[in-house]
Amino acid sequence: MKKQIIFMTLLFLIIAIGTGKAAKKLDVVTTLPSLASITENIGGDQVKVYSITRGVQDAHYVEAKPSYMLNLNKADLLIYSGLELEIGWLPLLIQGARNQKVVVGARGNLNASLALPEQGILEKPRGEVDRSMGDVHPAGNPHYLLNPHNGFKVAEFIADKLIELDPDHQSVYENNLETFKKALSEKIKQWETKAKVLNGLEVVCYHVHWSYLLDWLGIQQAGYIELRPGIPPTPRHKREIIELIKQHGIKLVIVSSWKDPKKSKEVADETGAELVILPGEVNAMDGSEDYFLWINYLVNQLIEKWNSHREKSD
Amino acid sequence: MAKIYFYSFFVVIFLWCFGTGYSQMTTDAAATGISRAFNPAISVNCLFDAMGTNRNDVLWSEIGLEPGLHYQEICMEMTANVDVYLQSKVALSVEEKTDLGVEEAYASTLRMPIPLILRMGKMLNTFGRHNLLHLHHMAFVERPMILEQVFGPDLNEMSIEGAYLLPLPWYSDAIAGILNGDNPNLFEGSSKGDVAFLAHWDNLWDVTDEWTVRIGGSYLRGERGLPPPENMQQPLTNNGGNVHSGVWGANIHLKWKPLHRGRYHSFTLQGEYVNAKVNMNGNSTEPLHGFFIQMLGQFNIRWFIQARYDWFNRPQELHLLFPAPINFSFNPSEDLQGQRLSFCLAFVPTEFSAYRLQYNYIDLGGQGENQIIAQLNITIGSHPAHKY
Repeated sequence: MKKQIIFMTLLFLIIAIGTGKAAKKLDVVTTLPSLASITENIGGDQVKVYSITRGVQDAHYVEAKPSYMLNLNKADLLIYSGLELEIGWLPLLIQGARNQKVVVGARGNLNASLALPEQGILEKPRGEVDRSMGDVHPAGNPHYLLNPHNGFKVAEFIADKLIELDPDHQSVYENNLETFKKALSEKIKQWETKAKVLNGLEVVCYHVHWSYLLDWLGIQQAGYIELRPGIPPTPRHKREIIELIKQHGIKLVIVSSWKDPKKSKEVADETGAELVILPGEVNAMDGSEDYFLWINYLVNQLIEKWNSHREKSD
Repeated sequence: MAKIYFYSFFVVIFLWCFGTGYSQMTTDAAATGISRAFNPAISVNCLFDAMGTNRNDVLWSEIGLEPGLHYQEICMEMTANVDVYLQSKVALSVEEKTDLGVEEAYASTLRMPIPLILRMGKMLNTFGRHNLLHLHHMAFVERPMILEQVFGPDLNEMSIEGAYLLPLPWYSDAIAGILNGDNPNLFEGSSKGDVAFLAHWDNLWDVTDEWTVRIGGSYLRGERGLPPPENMQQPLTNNGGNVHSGVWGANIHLKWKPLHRGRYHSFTLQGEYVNAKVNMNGNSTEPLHGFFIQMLGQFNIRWFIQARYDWFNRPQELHLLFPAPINFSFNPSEDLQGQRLSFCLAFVPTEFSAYRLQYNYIDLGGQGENQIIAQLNITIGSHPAHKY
């Protein structure tokens, strides 16, 4: 009898430990590494985060691999950029995942762009839009996390959603959010102070991608090397851009690490401008492993290239 | 047997209703009745071809692919969510020598309590991977020979298909379907209740972040009624019942796409084998079987180089059962072998247009043909993304 009581007690303890202590973490799938990084900051130990795209991938052109559906099938929450950035592949993944928690309209489906006010969306086309204009985003430029002030808003939005789905850990998420906001505010002050030297600068970009970053830092985009978004330049357009750079005395040509830098390099070489290759997402290049490091890398790289050019000119 | 079919159908419909919430269509005014915000995504795809051959009559005459300038197909596709529970897709197509037809029109579930998608309607059925492709999504101008032979040209029937995501460490989809069984080459049962059954098992592994391997197997079984079609030269004896058609297939797909600058380079190797056996009046015949293997290499952001090899063997007993699209006289008492070697250069400036220049060498029963085909493939409107 004694043995049976000991056995039953042990069994009860094992079951209690197994079910009580191993509370399930929230399974979060994000489409972008930047969203994953912010979610990890807010969710801490209470979430398990998986990003569908890697930093080196251009999120405009991802294939809807069935293996991504497998991850999404187990998710409690899907966080995506929105503004039609993932329009070419995410609907297929959601449908193939067969997980009603994350379908559009469900509680576990979070369009992060909704954290931003309407007027905060840049480059939303006015008037006619058609495909002769290239790969335009009819809903506006979706790369809003390049401005860390938007990172702030998105972090708050994600925290609200985590609290909604997992109210037992509300205090954890609130504390993590406060820590994140404090750290980001301090970094924003540092970045803005350092980047004053860039204010009013004119640059040429290969693709319409960097608008939120440049707008934040007070840098003007004088033109694009691409003929239209997503369309490589014709020889004539390239000549026109070279002329523009020479006329305006533009010193920096910016291209994303996702793009082949060949055409941008040709333009930079011919005009004497500095070629700046920037990571398009978190972890796209060494030194950009999380959201803070990414923005830090972008700001530092622009300042470094600008200083390098000035030193050469002097 | 008819009872089994009836109960199977009943179970599938019950499952569907269980997942979607049964609702009777009513005449109640809908809050969203005339809002244009709920219009479906509509797209039109056009395939224009120019073809040249060294023969007066082409050996292999697919509809819409003949010497001269032609439109191969115009296809309109509409997709939208029906309501909270269902999504629907309708694809209407017209070829140069055929009337407007329904290529696909089906509803699929959006949310189910288990990891299952049900589709009901007329659809491209999940036999292998290639059969799921619309003409404009294919890498080459025409379908593989063996699929044309067996399904003439597609397996797209009124059917119910269910796809269940198996709880395995890799992506594994178990698909089962009940088809109306009216494919002219394979089925057409003698009684109206005859249906065909389809099973497909689809597996995909990420070998690395950049390489995937996909392997699948398919089996299709249905009944062919007796007496045989009128054009049979050697009619079969009518034993008052049905004979079975059984088709099995295997598919493999190997794909490489680099994570970094994945828009610039990619490589795909894909092959399928199909074996169709018709039980002619209780007597087993040799199967009609064949395969294709194709390679697609992307060497630049806009340029692809492609090659495909097709082969099939048709036993002489099946010449009249599987007629299309062979277009020359041959000895009907001998088996017919065919093969085709294709090379294609594709220029794809955007997602919405592609230019192809393809060379085919065709050998049918010892007769040869050289073909050159140029194709313009355009899409206007909102076209849903293609599956992997």
